[in-house]
Amino acid sequence: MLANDVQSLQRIPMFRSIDPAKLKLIALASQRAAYRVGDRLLKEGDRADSVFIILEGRARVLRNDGEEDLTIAEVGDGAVVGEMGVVLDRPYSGTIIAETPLTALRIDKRTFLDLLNQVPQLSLALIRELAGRLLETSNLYVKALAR
Amino acid sequence: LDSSLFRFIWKHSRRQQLFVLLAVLASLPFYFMSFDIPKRIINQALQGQGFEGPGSTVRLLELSLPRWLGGTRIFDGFDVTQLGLLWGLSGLFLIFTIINGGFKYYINVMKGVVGERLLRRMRFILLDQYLRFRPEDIRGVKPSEAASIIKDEVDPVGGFAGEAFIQPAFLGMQALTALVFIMVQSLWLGMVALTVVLIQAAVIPPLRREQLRLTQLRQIESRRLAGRVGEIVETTPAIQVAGSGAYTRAEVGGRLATLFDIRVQLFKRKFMVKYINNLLAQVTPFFFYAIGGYLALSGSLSIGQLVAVIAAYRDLPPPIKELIDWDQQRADVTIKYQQIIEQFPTDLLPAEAEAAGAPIASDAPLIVAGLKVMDKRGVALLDSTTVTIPRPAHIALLGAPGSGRDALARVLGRQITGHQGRIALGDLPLDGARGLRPPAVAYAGPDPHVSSGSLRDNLLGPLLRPPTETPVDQGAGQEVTPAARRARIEAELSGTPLAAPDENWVDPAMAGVESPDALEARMMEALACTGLADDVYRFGLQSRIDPDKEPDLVARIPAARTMILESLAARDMTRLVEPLDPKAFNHHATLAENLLFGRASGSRFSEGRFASDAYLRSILEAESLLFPLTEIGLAMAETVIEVFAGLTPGDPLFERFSSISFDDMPEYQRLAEQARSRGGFERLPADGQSRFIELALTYVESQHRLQLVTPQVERRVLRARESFRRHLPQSYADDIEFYQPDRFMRSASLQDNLLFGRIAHDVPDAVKLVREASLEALKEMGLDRDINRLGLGFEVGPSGRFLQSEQRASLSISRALMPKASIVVLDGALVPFSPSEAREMLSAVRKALEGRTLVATMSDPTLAEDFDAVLSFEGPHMIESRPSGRFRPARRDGLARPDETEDPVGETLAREAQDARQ
Repeated sequence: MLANDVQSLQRIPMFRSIDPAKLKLIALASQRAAYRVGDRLLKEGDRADSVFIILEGRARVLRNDGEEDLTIAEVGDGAVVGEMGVVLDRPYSGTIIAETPLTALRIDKRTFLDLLNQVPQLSLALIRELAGRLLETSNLYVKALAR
Repeated sequence: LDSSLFRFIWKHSRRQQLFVLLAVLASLPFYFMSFDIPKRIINQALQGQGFEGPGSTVRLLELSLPRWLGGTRIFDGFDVTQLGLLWGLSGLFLIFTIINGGFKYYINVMKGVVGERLLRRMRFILLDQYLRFRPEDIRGVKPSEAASIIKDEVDPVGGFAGEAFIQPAFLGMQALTALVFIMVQSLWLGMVALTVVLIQAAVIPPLRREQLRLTQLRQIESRRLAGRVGEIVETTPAIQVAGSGAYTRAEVGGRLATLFDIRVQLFKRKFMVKYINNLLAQVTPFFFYAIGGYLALSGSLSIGQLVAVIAAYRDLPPPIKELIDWDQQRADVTIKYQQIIEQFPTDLLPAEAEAAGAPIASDAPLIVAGLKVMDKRGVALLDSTTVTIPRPAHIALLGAPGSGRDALARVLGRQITGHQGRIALGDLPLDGARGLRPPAVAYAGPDPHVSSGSLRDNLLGPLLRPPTETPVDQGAGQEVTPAARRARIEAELSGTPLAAPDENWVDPAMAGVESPDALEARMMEALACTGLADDVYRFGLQSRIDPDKEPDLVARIPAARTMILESLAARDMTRLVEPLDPKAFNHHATLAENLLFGRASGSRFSEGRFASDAYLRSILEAESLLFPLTEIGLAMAETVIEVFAGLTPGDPLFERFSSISFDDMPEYQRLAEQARSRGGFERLPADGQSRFIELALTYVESQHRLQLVTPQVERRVLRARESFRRHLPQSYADDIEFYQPDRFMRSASLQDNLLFGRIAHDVPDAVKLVREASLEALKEMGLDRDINRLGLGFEVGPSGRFLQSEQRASLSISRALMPKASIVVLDGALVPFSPSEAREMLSAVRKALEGRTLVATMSDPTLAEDFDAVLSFEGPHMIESRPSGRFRPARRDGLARPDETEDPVGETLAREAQDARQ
């Protein structure tokens, strides 16, 4: 199963550049968890204590606007969630709920930070991922302004 | 300690020394008599001197006062024949020998007791002095050197103390008695003996001076070595990482060589002295035989006298030699004593004493006036600072690490005592507010100090105060055992505390609670503030219980298990725990557990010894498990070697996830290479195979996920489980405790006993969810308090090594919250935590300290946002003191309450700070 997890990680763009032995380390240091439909992976406002790599399945990202939970995105295979809260040492900014049976690798905060120290390629991949998201957000912002 | 060793000894053991000296004096007549009797035996009983003819008699035991006292006869004695005299004198000789031996026994025991009492006193005084070191001085003391002084170096000093006065008196008098006796018998022989004694006294001491110098040098070098070894042990991980082990080894080698050279020099000196001593001792009998024989032949000395003189001389050299030894020891220990007292500064803190007077008023303001702190080089750590803050208040000291905030926090926390200016709570200077109940200050610093013992011991540390009554003091009706009475008398004679450590030292009033029972809840509150309460609960669940000590708890476990299972079922969480079923393979348990279906209770199946056990091996072989288990172990080893290649020792990932220790890695690598070579697997040595099997037995499929346990392996393991149990030899009965659902398992943890199953590794948050569900059930049964009680008993190890660094930091903060101190100081205590954890913890601590005063250092201004007062520092200067929240600026002398004036006190204070700088 560890081998399958490594294969799954290799298919995720963010981890593609990482050495297979280090991917094995990431997989070994994670907990492989199976979620049922409706199970919550993480909750908005909770202390960010884990990063999740979704290997299989889909989940909804919800955010509370003060009155109700709004679905703001959907994530699926290969998505990495919870990493911003962990890196920024801030509470989770959204809630994530499994929409289908879902399998994820869960890495606790301490281990994730240690992995960033030990695997520079992972740090770089994370920076790329976050920079990509920032760019995406900026583009959306510019579009919104233009409207 | 007194500057003179002899004065110190005399001062503390005068009465005892005099008492023993009296015994020495009392022994001398008997000693003298024991010399005289052999002479009478030879001259009178054997040679017939004094017997006028056959059948005549002489008087035995005729006792009279000396002539100068009137010569009155006290006892007429007995008339005895020559044979009767022989028997009588021989009997007397035997009696005197016994009496002399008795005196020696008593004097030696007393010497030992007096010495040990003084040693006890010295060790106590030294430790007491360390406890009174100023915090800034104690940091310069190497713990191993201090331990070496208290444990080893004072030992000879204490040993000498018992002999300091008694030994020279005893030996001197013995030697003098022997010498006087010889002189009385023959002046010539007496002169010979005296001459030899004088030569010894003149020649030996100068020779020993160099020996002393070398001993002293050796002591200094040994102490340095002890200090360095302590340092090396502490910094071993750093040395390993830096790769400076070779230099360290060379350095230690050099020190050992120095010690060797000194010792060789010492041997040469020591044995030269011994040689001269022996020579002189042997030359004297030559004179005695030659001169004494000549005098006997010439008729001026009787044979009896000569024999008695030779016997007396036999008793002369030992006291003289021992006297010289004593003198050497005196010089030696005097130097050691001087070296020891030189280690202690003169400006120690005053001894702790119970402070009289009223406790500090909760609203007594914190007054800092012209406070200035310099380091040893004269660099300012805190520039002159003046501020008055009304209490209670939560005060943030804001600034970069190393700025004046740290110095102020440390002065408040009494970690710096050498300062200028004044710091007080109302009228009471902080320096004088010692020994209060509850205390003025509680402090948690950046280096959390944790003592060995349990978590409870650490938390209760600040509440320990001398018991108000000791059992001996208690009134009539209280049974005081003779042992307790003796212990108290000895404590008085040695100047050590009268209260025994096993008395009740915990003062609940220090924590602001009334009864000892409330302390447990107080501890849990303090631990909850720092997040350690969950760990304590976990420690409690993981602890093992002795059913003989906890019969009530054990009796409630079956009911609790049922309730937990019901609670899990009600929450649809039964999949979170896989029960331990004798007929089924448990996927969340190790292979070892699946195989044995029980817990090792003796040493036979302890970690690392499974695979080498002959019986277990025979079962594995019979069930064809040797090969698959070796394969599993090999695959595990290869994964670890591949995944952790290039990681350094002590790497946190390695520590947490590797199944192999760093030291064992090369061996496993070698064995793995051998196993994978052509035909290598079959040729693996038995030891190598055992190592792989040992590793395989720790394998848990759901956790390690290497897909190594096939259904076939599971079936074989189940068969092996059955065989193992069925054929277990009688001699193994105490080494394993099989899982039985209806029985309490002594060697299993409380959690295992409560769940009787394994928590799933592949279900998210399973541990947390099971704990929550079971907590509810346990609370209902009132068992949660017992679990916390057991958790508080968790042993933290030397310096808290069994705890993680964050747990140590949490414990340190919780400990500071235990006493109801007027001010709680957190000086960099939150540094080990992430900002969000620190924020959370600070908020909990502030809630716990509502209505009391907290002083916390921080560098993040957002943390200080809703503090009552914020003092900002840049370098050693306080640049701003800002009231915020409910404090409004008020008087010139400080901050005031919201209902007071609107005068901008922050500015005033900043101006004051500016003035002070100028």
